[in-house]
Amino acid sequence: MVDFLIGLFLASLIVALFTTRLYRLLLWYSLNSLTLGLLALTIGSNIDDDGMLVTGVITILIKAVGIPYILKNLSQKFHFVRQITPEIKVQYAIMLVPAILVFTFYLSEPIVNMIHTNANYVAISISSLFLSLLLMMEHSNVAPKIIGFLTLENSLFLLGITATNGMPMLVELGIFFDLLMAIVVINLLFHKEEMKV
Amino acid sequence: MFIFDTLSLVFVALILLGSIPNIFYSTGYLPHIKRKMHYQIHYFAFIGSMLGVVVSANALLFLFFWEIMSLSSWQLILTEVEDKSTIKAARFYFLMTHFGFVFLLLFFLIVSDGNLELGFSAMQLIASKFAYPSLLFFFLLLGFLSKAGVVPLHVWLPYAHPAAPSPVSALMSGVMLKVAIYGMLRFLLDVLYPWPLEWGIVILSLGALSSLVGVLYALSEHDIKALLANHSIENIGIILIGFGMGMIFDTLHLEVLSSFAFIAALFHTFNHMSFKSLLFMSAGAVLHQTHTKNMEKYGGLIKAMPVTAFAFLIAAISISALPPSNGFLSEWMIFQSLLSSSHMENISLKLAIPFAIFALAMTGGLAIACFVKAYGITFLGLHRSTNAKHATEVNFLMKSGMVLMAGVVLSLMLFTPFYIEWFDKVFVSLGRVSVYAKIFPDGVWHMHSVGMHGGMVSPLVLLLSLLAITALMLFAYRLFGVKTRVHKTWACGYTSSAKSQYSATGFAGPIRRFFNWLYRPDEHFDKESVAGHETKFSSSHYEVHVQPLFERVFYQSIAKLTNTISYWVYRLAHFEKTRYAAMIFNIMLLVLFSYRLFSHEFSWALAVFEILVMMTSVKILIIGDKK
Amino acid sequence: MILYLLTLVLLVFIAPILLSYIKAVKMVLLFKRPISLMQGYRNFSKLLTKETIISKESSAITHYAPFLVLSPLLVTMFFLPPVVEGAYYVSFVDAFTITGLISLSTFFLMLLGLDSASAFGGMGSSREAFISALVEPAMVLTIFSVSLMADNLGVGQAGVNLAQHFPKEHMASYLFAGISFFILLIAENGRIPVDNPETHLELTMVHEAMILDLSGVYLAIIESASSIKFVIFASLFASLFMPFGLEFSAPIAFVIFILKLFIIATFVALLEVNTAKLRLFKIPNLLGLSIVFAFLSLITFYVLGA
Repeated sequence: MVDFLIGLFLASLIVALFTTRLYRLLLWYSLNSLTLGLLALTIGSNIDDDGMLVTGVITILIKAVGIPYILKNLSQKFHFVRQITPEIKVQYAIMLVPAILVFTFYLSEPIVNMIHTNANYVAISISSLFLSLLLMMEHSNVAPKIIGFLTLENSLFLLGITATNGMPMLVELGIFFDLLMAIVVINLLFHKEEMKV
Repeated sequence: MFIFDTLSLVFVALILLGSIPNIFYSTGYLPHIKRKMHYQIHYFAFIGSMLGVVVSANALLFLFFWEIMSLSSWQLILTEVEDKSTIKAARFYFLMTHFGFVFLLLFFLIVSDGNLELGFSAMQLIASKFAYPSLLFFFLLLGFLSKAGVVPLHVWLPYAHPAAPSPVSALMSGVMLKVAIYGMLRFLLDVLYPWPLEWGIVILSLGALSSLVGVLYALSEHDIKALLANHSIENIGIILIGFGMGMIFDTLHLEVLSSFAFIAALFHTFNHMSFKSLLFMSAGAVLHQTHTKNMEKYGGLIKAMPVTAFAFLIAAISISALPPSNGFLSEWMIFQSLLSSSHMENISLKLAIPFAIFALAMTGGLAIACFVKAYGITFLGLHRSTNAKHATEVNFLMKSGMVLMAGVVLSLMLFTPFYIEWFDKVFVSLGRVSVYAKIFPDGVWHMHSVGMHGGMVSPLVLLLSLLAITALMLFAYRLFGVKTRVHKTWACGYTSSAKSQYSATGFAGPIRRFFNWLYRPDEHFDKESVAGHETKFSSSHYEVHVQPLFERVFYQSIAKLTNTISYWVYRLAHFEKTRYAAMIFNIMLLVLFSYRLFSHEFSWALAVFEILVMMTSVKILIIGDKK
Repeated sequence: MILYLLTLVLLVFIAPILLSYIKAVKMVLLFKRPISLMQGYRNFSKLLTKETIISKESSAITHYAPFLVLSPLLVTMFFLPPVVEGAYYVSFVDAFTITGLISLSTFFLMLLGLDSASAFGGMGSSREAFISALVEPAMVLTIFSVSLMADNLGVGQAGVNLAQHFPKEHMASYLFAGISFFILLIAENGRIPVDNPETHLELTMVHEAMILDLSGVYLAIIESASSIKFVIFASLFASLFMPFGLEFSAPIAFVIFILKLFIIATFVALLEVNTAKLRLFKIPNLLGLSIVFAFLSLITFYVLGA
């Protein structure tokens, strides 16, 4: 089950890399977060960690529903460009994405040897880290860059729950607040931009 | 003097199979040629020298025949000099083939210790004592692969092969390239054994690269013979993929898989000989009747030239690797050996092989597109020029050449087990494991893969079932007596004319656009619009030319560099005598220093000191003060 | 053996119904009155009674190609995985042969498009050549990855193996291979994001453009070929990626299999309603996705064993 969810996580990230529409991108982000939340719930119930269950629920509520909703509102309010074509051509991307995956799996081999539980997932979360960086790189618009940032956070979260069996509850809550703050700040920035104009 | 082991005999058979139908064809083609004597002498010398190369048993004889082969084919290119481009192509060919020859000579001089009459078996001892075997390997690669037209040494091939008369193009593409493969087999398996892992990887990646590059440039061609020549690059790439896999498996001690991959490569060598010769022959027949190599001037030739069209169809199906043709079988074997990489221990290598699978599969897909284009534009639809309209079937001798060659293609398909058994013997005689019993464990009907579990193909069953079902349907169609009428069909509401159908350029359009970043084509588009309208125009003309990237980047920049250097040397030698002397001074200094450094004693401090001295001396004596 | 023959008959009969079903589902979702499921048969029988008109520009290729388009697909049907446990299946054909046979059928279809010298035929062939060239690598890599999970390259055997040992430990790569294969199913059968089988607009046509100049029995043959192609892909997807329900007794297993086919068809229909057709030069994005997933499936299998 965990394998399946991690697969979905990576799959939604890769699909996001190839998307050319903003709302689709939001959808994939929300699916990405949803699988992450489900993953946290599954692992949490496997190791009987209530904190993990709570974070899972919060993840689903905030990241899978809340943030995409806010971003959609934002984009409607500020008329974001909805046609987002990746700067990296698909011809290159076809080769680039597998190459990144192979390379990160190769790179993370020593780390994987260090960790004993869920060792394989560490490799996947590191590669998804790279993929979300790629997502940020390949777009010139602001909105997809924000989503790239958010998926970056998702993959760090994945690293946290798989590598260490969950960080302390407090840290995770802190991260959530950071995230919300980031969204608020982005919102404020846009407001300010609009006032200037 | 001569050697007649199984490897040699197999290649003798390959050359004979490739050239006997060709002799018929060539005789039929002869009235077309003006310098008959010149042509005949070189033609037979060419065939004889190829036979000589594969049976010669010492280095001197090998190089002698090799050189005769190069020279006679060079003269054959020059048989029909129509324009300057032919001469240029011949010059390019001459240059490249001797570029390779130099490296072969170096190789032989090293492995035979200067005694060129030494047999091949004695060479292994000398080669194994040589300190830098990789150097020998790269000499071999440069020597043979420049002949075989592997990327990046392929640039001459699309110019030279089409420039020759068609029977010669068929021989060069179909047979001569295989002689280079023979050389690789002979000297890698016999002389330079065992190999480090890297050699196999080098060959595999060269193969994957050439297969993709070859097919991509073939797609963008509209000169039919250049298209076929580019396809030769692709197929040599496929052969090398099999070859490289064989070497990799061997170094990893997977002997069975290694033999399987080598057999696959050898089988593809035979298949490519058969279908490429057939393609060149039928393309030559078309050229003979229409007097142009430009595909945009063909069309509808199937009605006038049914035999040629049928021969081309068989070869096209085979080269596109569609079942149950022989091309499919060998490509299937190569795919199977790539898939067997899942047995490897080395994880990085295991992860890299899927990229080769990707390249091979992509090649297969593009080859289908390319041959639909070649066949469809040439033989189907309406004639696009008056020459194509008045074309008739070629004479009996040329037809019989094509029919014989089609027979060779079909025999390779029908008697696969027989051929494979024979190829198996080749590798057994070279000290490999026999795998015939593993490929055909129960009779000749099913062909098994030795690596992947359940990889199996049954060419004859497929052929029979396809034929049976098609015949059944045709029979039913006849039986029910469906009313058939030949009439105008819809055709977008226009009367169909030669101009309304798709052109070769248009057919390859989507793919060309997708690979635009590789092709960087020169597009010319002229339109005479009517009264300033965007969409109404009286005449328009669109042309695309693709110049190979490799030629532009690699060769032309090398040419520029050489030019600059030679200019500099020239200036130095003629105008600045003092610096000339200073150069000699510095070179002597360099030699003495480096001798002291590398052979006498090595220490970092000394090296730095000497480099400093060198730099100062160069600065003072050669560069001097700025004026 | 009897079950094997029964499966064949079932597949042949269900093929036109599936395509009509997709159309019907779409029409329901668009608030139209749906066509009957038997529409495929009606079209077929109507075309059979019509006279065949052959374009006067065309050559012998037009006389033979329709049969050569259909026959590789019919041959492929014999090689599909079994529907019921214990049924006979052909074990001597591997997945490569099947992709080869499908390419053979496409090859003749493309020649058919070029034969009638009309602009549309050439356009269709050219586009089809472009799409199928990109489909090929994804197909081969997906096959490779599935065969590693099923531990067998033979299609029939792979179906049986997957049904007996569902690859729980390789869920991630199994999922990736499934996604990749589904995209291929859509691309190979010319469903909506890639090709629109219903319009006759020059901007969107691929498959239809090639057969525009055919009529009568030839058209009927090509139409049945495309429905059979769909049923081949759907049943491959059902056997390889939904390998359950084989262990029941024959009638129940058959019902489950038919249900699976209809579920796949429903998915395709939902996708068709919800997406717009891609521009031709956007199709590589979709197929590229499929290639990437195929790679991913292999890589995760090798590196992570997951």
